[in-house]
Amino acid sequence: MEGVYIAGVGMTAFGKHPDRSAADLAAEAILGALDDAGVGTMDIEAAWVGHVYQGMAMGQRALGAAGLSGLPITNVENACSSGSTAIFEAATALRAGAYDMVLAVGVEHLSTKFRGALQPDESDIEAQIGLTMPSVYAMRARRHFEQYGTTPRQLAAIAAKNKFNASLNPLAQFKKPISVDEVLAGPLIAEPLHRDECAPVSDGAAAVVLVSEKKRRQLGQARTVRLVASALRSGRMEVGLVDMTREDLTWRTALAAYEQAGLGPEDIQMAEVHDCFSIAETTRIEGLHLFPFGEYPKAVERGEASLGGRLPVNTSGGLLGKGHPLGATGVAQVIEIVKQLRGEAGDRQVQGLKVGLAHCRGGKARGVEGTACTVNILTL
Amino acid sequence: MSEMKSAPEVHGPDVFEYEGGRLCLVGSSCPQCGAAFYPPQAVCARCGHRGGDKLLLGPEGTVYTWSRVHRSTPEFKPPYVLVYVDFPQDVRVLMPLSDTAEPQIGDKVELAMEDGPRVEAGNLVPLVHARPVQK
Repeated sequence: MEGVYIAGVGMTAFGKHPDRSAADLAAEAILGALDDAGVGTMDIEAAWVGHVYQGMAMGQRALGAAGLSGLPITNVENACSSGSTAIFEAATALRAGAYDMVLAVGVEHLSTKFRGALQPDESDIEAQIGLTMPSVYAMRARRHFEQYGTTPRQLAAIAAKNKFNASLNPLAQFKKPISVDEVLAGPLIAEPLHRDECAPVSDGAAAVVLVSEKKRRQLGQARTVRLVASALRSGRMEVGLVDMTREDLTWRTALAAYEQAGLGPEDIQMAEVHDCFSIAETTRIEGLHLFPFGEYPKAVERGEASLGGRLPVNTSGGLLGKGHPLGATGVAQVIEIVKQLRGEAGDRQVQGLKVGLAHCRGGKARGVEGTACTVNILTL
Repeated sequence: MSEMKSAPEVHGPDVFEYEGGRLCLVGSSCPQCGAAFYPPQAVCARCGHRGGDKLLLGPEGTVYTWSRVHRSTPEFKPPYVLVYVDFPQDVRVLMPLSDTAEPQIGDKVELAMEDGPRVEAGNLVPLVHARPVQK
């Protein structure tokens, strides 16, 4: 991929922000990213803003609150991958030579819109039968148990790992570590998944400044991180009786990203993946071919995905620990990799890091395994 | 098939049909490549052929996976059990199970019209359910 770099990052604390608007949250993230890059509002040539439930022209409201107007602004809705799709679109425009400095933003104020379980769109035939997002993943978990002997305790260990990582992240929604036993003692949402194995309802915003090779040289910045791959795919209509534990969508997206980067799964040293549920982290990591199918939950129990392990996963706390303001999630994942690569991750710093991967996917529509998936790979 | 909707009403009469006295779901198969779908597809998702032949799914299938749902949206009354049923016609369909007892993966089920789990005006709505076949 042509030189595309992340020159600045900014995000709000994730959690419940009842007293702040989505635009206010977005402005904090945007101004933080501009300051981090050492650039001003007038330097930004175009912006993409990802959100799901924020209504018409959220992007214009968000940028307006940060003092940006008049530039090309595109609103992006791609379910939970909206923010990472904004990054993909921004990177694609830079790669095409259309601009030299752009913004990708993600924002969501979910606590004012939802309580309880999210559902696919109400027109979806499966939503009309009672399918909720937790039950989608609960049924995948049941298959993982059946096919690989995975246990509820192993899945709970994923939630405990991510909540521990979140306790080291000042911007995370959950501040307190939780034990595996406490996860298993919590209420069931959709069997076999307990409450702490499901991402919470969150508000928050995140923003990154992306620049071309030329602009990076002009800025003379030593802290820029290179975006070596940015891939987007959508779920294929499933034909026949497919294996629900294998994420074809994740693999096809990852393959495109690995090819762009000239890297393979063996080169990835840390990953932020879309752990909307404990089982989801499993099927993402296995779908990315970072662990063999069926092996990941056992590896988590052995500490291989913890900080200091062979492949730290969701060092930010992930969606389970950091929180999941839908539109902001994909941008925040990339920010975690940037901070880790710069050596600015504080108590959760991964040592000797050169390559990190961010995976985001989400949504459900009948007939497809998932709606949208992105994989971004970053290097020093 | 003359009229195919892209998003049929789950409660509507065009979703099911009785064959030999037993309830079946109405799906479609592609006349060109044979791919089978539920709900019926106006355009084949595998080969792009336009139009499909009617294909009845059932009357029996097997449980591929399941979950008992404890938290849902206000339109539903938990707890209820959802199952993905694999039909011999090579199609997988989501359905509520007709009781809240724990099913097993691989259990044989048949189709039955039962009330719930959807609620409208305070009443459970009849829906096609999967019902365990007595062994």
